[in-house]
Amino acid sequence: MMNLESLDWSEDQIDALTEIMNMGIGVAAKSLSDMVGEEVILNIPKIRLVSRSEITNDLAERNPEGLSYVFQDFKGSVFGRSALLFPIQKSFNLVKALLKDMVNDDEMTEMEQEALSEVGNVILNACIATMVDTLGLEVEVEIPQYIRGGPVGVLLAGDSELDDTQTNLFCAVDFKTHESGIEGYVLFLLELPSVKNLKKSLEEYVNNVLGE
Amino acid sequence: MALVAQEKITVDHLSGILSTVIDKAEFGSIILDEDSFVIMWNQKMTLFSGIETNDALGKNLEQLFNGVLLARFQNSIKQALTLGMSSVLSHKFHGAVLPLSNKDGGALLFTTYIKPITIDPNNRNCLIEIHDITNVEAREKRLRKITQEQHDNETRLRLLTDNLPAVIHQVRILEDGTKKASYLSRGVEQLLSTDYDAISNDPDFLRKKIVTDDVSLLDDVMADVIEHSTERDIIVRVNINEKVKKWVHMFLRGREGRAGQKVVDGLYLDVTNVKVVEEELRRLATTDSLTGISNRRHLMDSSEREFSMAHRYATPLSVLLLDIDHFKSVNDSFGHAAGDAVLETFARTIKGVTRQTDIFGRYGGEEFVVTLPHSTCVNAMAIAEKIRKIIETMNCGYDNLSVTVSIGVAEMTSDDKTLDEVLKRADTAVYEAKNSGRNCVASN
Repeated sequence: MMNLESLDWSEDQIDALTEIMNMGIGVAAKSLSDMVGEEVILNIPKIRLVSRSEITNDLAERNPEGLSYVFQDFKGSVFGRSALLFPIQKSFNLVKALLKDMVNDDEMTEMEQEALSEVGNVILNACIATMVDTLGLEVEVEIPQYIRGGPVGVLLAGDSELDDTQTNLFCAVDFKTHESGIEGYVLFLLELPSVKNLKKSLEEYVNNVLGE
Repeated sequence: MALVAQEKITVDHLSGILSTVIDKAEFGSIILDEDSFVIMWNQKMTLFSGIETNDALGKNLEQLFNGVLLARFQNSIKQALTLGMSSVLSHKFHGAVLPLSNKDGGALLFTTYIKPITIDPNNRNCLIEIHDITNVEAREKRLRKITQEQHDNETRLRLLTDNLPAVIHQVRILEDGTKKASYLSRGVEQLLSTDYDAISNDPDFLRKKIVTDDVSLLDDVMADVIEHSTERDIIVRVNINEKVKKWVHMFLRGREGRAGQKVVDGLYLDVTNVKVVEEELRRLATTDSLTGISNRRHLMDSSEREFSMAHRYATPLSVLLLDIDHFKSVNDSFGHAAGDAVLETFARTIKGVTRQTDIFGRYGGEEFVVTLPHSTCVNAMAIAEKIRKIIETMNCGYDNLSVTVSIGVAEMTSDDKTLDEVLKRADTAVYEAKNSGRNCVASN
C-alpha cells in the first residue's frame, strides 16, 4: 500500500486496471480452452504495482532455480515489455498438460518451446489488446520470444534506462486444467513516460466511466 | 528539387531491394492491407500453395483457399491490423493453419507468425510469415529416438551391471587430483553388506574398508594405473564387519576420458570362496593326511630352504631322523588302527615340544624328521633326548601299548653340498642307535 501511495495511483485507477486485466485474462482463457479442447481457467487474484528492484528480488527469492519466460516488447504511446513467467519445471508441466502427445522427457523440444511461446502470446496479447482497446492506446507488439531458465534480472534489464523507482505492473496468474493447477506471473515493464501515459489514459477512462 | 528527386530515387531503390528480399525470403511471406487483401505474395508462398503471385494479389485468404480460416488465425490477423498485436501460431497446437504443401507434395509443417507493419501511421498492414519446420520436426524426432535409445541402453546396462555378481566402479580424477565417483553398480550392496546410497558418491569407499596392511598396496597400484593409463589387478582383504573379512580381486584400468581427464574403471570380484578353496588345496598339498603335519615333499622343500640359508650365512643347522622302534609289531599285535593312533599321537606329541622355527614332518612310514635351524649337534642332541623321553611315556589310548623311538642326529658341515648328505649321516646315526638297543639317541 505504501508503494501505491508513493506512486500516487488512486484506488479507482488500480481497480480499473484490475478490471481490464481480468477482462483480458478472460479472453485468453477462452482462446486457450479452444486451442486445447478443454476448459482452461485463468485467474488473476490481484495486481501489484512494484519497483523493479522489488520485483527482481521477489521473483529471484521465490524461484531460486530460475524462471522460464515468454516476453513480447511493445512500442507506441506506451513503451515496454510484457512477460509471462514460470518456474522452469512448471512451464514444462504446463506444456505437458496442454499438449497431450508430449513425450515424457526432461527437456522441451524446439516445437514445444514454440507452443509455450504461443501460450504466452495468447495471454499477453489478450491483456495488451484489452488495455489498448479499452484505453484507446496506440501500440505495436513484437513477436513473442521464449527464454528458458534465465535469471530474472536479464529479463528485467531489457532496458537500461529503466530506473529503480520505476513502476511495474505485476500480477500472479493461476492456470487450471483438469490435471493440475499451475501458477505463473504476468509482468509489464514500462518506461517512465509510458507509466505517465498509462496513468493519464486510466484517469480519462475512470472519469468517463464515473461520469456516465 | 534535385535533392528531393535524389531522395525519391533512394526510397524507390530501397523499396525495390526490400521487395526483392521478401520475394526471395526463405519463408513464405504474405502482406495483407487494412482490408485483409493480399498486396504481397512471395516466391516461397507460390511454392507452398501453388498460387502464382499475380493470382493472389487483390484477393483475401478465404477466397484463395476456398474456405473459412481458423478462428485464431482470423482473429490474429484482425488484431494485427486493428490493435497492432503480433501472434505466433504453433504447429503443436494448430497443425497446418493453411493447406500448404512442401516441394515433394506432402503436407507442409509450419509455424505461422503474424505481425503488424506500419508503412505510414494511417495505413497499417499485416505481415504473415510461414516458416517451414519440416527439418526441425525431423531433427526432433531423430533426437527423441536417439534419446530414447540411449535411455533404453542405459537401463539395460544398469540392469546388467546391477545384477552382476561383481561391482563396477568408475572414478574420475579431477585436475587437482581429487577423485569423483561417476558410477557404481548395485552389486556393492552384496559385496560389502552396505547401503548403496551411503557410499555411491564416495570414490574411496573400498579403500576405507581394506585392511590396513593392504592399503599401501592399493595406493601404489592406483597411482601406477592413473599415471601410466595401464591395467593392474590385485587381491586385497576387506573388513566387512568386526568378524568377517572378504577377499576382493580388484581389476583396475586407468585411461583418458573424453574430456582429457583421467578415469579409472574398476571391477571388483568377491574371491573369498576361491581363496578358501585355495587355502584348503594348499593345506592338502603340504600336509600328511594321517598326522596333520608336513608331508615328505613339504618337509623337504622347507628343510632345503633352511639348509640353503644356513649354508649362505654359515649358521649351524642340525637334523633329527626319528624312527619308531618295532612299529611293525605294533601293527601286527594291535591292528592297523592302533598303528595309526601311534603315528598320530607321536606326531602331535613331538609338535608340542618343537619350536616355531623348527621344521617337523613325516619322512615316510614310521620315519620322521625334525630340522633344527641355528642348532649345533650338541643342542640337537639335547632336544633329541627330550623327545626320546617324552615318547617313552607317551599314551596312545591302548592298554599295554607303549612305543619308543630311536633318533639319529647330524649337523651340517661346510662341506655338505646338499641336505641329503646331512640326512644320510642322520640315517647312519639312527642305524647306530638301533644297533645300540633302540630307545636311544646317536649322533654322527
